[in-house]
Amino acid sequence: MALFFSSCFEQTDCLINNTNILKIGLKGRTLGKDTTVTFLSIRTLEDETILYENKNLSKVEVPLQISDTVTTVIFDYNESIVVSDTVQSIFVSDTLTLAYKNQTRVISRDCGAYLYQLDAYIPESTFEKVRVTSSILLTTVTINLEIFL
Amino acid sequence: MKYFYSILLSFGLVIPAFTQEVETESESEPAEIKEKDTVKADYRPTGIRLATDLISLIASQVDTKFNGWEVNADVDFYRYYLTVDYGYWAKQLSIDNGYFENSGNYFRVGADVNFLLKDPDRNMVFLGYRYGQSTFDHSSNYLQDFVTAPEYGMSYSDTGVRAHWMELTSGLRIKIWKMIWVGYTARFKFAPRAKGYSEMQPYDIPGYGIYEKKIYWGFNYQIFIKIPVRKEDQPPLIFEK
Repeated sequence: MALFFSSCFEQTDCLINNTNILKIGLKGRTLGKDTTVTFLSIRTLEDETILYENKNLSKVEVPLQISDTVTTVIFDYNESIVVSDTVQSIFVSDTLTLAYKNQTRVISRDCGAYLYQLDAYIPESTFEKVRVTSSILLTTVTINLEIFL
Repeated sequence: MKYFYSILLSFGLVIPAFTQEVETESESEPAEIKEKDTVKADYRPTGIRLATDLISLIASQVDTKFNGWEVNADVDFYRYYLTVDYGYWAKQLSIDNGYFENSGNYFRVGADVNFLLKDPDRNMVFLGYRYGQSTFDHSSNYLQDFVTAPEYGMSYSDTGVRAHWMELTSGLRIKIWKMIWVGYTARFKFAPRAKGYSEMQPYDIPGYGIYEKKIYWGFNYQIFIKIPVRKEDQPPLIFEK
């Protein structure tokens, strides 16, 4: 009987770990190790928000659209290439589109409801290689996807 | 007075009822030899019992956040009872950052085994099993803080969500007057599964309860009316030498 009542009035812990921040790790194309890139700008296509400008970054954080299920990010940077034994810097603008599902989860009456963004995948990208490492956005996840540059 | 005691008994626990049975048998003289019961079990149903859950009906009247009802039916086959439950459950809850509501119908089907075999009133102390299924709609409106949008208002809903689960049941049925029985059913619900949702993960499943809790308890206090389908035979007597 005691078990019956204790079960009914059990409180749920407010473990809220949702976020709309997509965490992107940058990796070297050849060795696959963490790398740093100087971005001229990183901006979102939908609301044209400039997220970063002239920044040296090894990790990029992009807030995903909460009223939509697609977010497109434009990365502008200079890439060094070797032409006839001389290193040249060329301007590159790469686009990455991420699609996902928005799903509400009511944690409990005391904790409330929260939006979770999950089942993320890349329908379109101009990068040579991109990999989704975690398809759900959580505060506990360190990297959601990796871009190989 | 008999009916008063019957009602009082129906509020009791199942375990003492079992204990009483065991004690009665063990108290009998070891020298006495009971004749083997040669009367064959009669599997022909004696009637259909229809019931409703009083807790749901009362809760619908006193709790503004809940609206629901449940009807039950069982048919006896000797000590085994085929049972069917059908109900409706709607909740409107205020949550920390908004509102949640759901509504839907559910059914359960299963069987009970009665451990009071020779009771002339066909009272029951039973254990049983149920399979439950629910179809429901749910929605939530709430505010959430995002880095890019503080206090952002959101509204999500799904229709036609389906869920199923299983139950182990136990309880009592006590005859209080002619064709009227009262009793309770305690439900140990487990293994909920849901599908057909996209915008919202189920929070509260009609007929089950909180989806996140993989084990959940339920309780019904029921009043039954029996519609007889044939004249009942008296239970077999035990002759002692």
